[in-house]
Amino acid sequence: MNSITSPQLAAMLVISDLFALVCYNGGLSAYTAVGLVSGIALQYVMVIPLVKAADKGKTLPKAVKLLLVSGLVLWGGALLGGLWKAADITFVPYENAGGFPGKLEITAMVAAVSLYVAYEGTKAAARSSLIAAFTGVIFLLTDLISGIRPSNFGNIPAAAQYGTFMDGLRLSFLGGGSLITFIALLPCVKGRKIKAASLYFLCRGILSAAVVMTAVLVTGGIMDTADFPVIMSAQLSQPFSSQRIDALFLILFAVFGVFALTVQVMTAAFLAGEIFSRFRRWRCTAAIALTLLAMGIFTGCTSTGQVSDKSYVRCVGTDGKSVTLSFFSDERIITADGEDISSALAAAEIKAGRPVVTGFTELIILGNCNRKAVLEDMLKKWKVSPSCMVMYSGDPVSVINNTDPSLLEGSLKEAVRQGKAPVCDIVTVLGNMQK
Amino acid sequence: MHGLETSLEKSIDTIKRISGGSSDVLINRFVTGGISCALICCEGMVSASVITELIFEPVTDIPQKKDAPELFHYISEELLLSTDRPRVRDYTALFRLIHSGFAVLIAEGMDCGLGFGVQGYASRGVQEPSGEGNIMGAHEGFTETVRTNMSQLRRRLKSPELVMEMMIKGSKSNTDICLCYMKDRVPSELMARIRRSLDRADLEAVLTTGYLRPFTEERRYRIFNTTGTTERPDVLCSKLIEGRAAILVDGIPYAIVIPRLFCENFQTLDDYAYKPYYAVFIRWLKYSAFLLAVLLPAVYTAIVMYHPELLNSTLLMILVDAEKEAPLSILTEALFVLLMYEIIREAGVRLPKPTGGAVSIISGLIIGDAAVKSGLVSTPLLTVTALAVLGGLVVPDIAPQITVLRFLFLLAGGIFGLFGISLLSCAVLANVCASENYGFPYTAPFSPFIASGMADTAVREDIEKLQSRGFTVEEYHE
Repeated sequence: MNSITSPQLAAMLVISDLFALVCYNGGLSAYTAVGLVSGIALQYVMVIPLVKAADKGKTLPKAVKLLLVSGLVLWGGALLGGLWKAADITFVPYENAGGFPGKLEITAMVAAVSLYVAYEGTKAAARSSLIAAFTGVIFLLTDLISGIRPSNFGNIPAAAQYGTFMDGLRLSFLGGGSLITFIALLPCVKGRKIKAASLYFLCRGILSAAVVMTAVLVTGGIMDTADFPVIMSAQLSQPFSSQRIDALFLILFAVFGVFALTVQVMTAAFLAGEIFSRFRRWRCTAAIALTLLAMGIFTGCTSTGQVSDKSYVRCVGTDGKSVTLSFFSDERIITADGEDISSALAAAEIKAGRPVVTGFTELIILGNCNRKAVLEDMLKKWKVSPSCMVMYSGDPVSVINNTDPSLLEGSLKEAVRQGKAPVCDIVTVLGNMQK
Repeated sequence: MHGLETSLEKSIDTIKRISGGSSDVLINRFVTGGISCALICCEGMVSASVITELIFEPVTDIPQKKDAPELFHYISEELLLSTDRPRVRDYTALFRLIHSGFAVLIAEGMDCGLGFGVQGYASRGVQEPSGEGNIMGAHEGFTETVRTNMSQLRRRLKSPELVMEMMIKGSKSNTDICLCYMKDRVPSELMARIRRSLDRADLEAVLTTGYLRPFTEERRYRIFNTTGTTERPDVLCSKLIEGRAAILVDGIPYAIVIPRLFCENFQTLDDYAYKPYYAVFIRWLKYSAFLLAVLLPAVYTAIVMYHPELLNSTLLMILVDAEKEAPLSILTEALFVLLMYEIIREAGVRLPKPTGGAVSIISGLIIGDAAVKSGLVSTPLLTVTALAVLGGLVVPDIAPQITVLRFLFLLAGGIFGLFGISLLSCAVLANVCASENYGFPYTAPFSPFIASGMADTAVREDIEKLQSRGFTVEEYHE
């Protein structure tokens, strides 16, 4: 295999680790972060004898290589599984990515691109991983800085029950299959291997700790609601109050997904190529098959298109069964009923005669209903902005019908500013409900 | 082809036969020193005044000679009629010389000829380069004559380390090509590999740089060229000093530079004429312009179609109002506008200059204005497209790649949103990172990351520091 540099190795592996963290769907706490970093440090100590052996030019026996291939395939499968699970929540593409076909399409496309990158060779994958990791770190930094605003140190004790030190330790080993990739790629590293190992584990430790702590600080108060805490924290880390920029996180998700998978495919192909000489041809065939698969399930991925053919919700009132909507570009106020707010929204779309976009909702007026469930649905499925305000009324329909929504929002903001009303953005309200 | 005959008549007959009686092959018979001779030249390739003053007048004054070898010895060693006096032993060499502007003297009793460099064909003078604008540097560009171009290099690099190796390529065109390099800067192994690549070039003719470039690049499909071109001698000199090799081709006012790196597309000679802070500003402006040129229409389309929540509500409402009148989807609109631009650009390039002006008026005033007024295209989309196109013009060296990538990203963004753009970015990144030329990674010094390389890529350090580093491209070799 062609030689790669220490930063390139670190970039390839850290991308995989961070992607695994992004797809993690369990609770996180400060204890988890400590456990995770301790686990990484422990792994560093454990690999030192291997690194020294590699420095002396010792090669791996064939049986170990076979084991590593199995490990890489499993780890690749785990990453692909993570991608499959998280594909829904990252809503790619925005409108029709949900459900089985959407997930299959996303996963197949990522797999196809990964195979193409792997096909280009180790050097290409290593070089592009370095650039992807650099871009990813810029995105992460943006996310971390954006996370300062919604961060709350009170979330650290609030999230303590959701993760233990041992959970973190387990996460570092089970969620860190890159250790296998590290062992497999170590002989290909140029220069001193110990330098490569130190750089990788240092980067992994720092970035993992930063990501987990941001997730805890941002989503600790609503950890119960967060299926994927890292993704949720990215979605709630909004630098601007009036819009959601978390779709940008999608870029990071997709790019990291591609490279995480690429590294496993490429390394497994390299090792398998040493064991089974005809593996190269199989790899190309697999790439073509997956590409065809992605093309074959093309259905349902095109948008309904025109930005002007949608109605943008400004204010919503609900009692859990019906919704009353007022819009930005439409004078009409629409009320629709259903079994829950999702079916009520679907009924409202029929009445409106066009798709209804809920991402710009600025005010939610809750009636008598299971408020926590409704707000959770609105945050996760409706993708409302984290700055969206929540108020209670016994009769939300008449409030919306009789009051100008902009006046209502203005009054509420002013009351919060003067301290006459509590902070009422959806994340704070949900956090308070969980307490 | 066989060698010249000792019989003058037979030689002349053979020349006539090989040339097929071509009317531009001139055979001037005369007797000098008591020996029958003929001067063969090609009409239009030699200077009539030079041939009369420097060849005919001295040659006709030659005293009686014993035989033809003595006559040739006298002409070659004592008369010194021209600086370049190659001996011609066969008809291939004879025809190559006369087609290159030489006059060849043959004589009764001699089985070789004597060439005189009396080139006088019409050629374009040294002019300002049309494609590589420069404010503070020299205003001289390469011409179509390879020897003029070689002299331009030599004027700027008066060093014995600069080597220029002439060779001939093209079985029909017999084109002179010149391999240039600084022998103290380029590893001999690299030069050997380049020569081997050129030896592989089995061509009938070399009419543009594109005929030779594929032989000096890797064969697998790559988006970007790993060899570059320049029409500026000063730029080429800077590349040679950095340890690159170059190929000059007769008849083409461009030099091929080997290897080419991605970062070089964003460097101009003017960068070194300005203060470093301004040069850095301009360089980053170019990086941003490149990204805008490739991604802006795609990102705009993806955001408006799939991720409107990225916009704030005020901006969104402006877009909603603008798009209300448009009958086509945003993706179709964007494709339409970009295709229109490409058609207009191509028409402007190919048409004669007076008509080209009319094309600009028609496209700018009539099509552009009418498309917006009729509601066929929305104003925000037109603005976005215009910005992207302008961005592409900032980096003209990679304009073809930008054009194609812009369309691909637009389709990816229009069909799959930001997800599609991300995936295509990964594929393109892998393709770019896989590009190499003779072991030089195209993406160096960004990846593989070479910190010292940042001095003239991410920033532009002081000239004194840059020059004292003694940088050669060999530092990037993997």
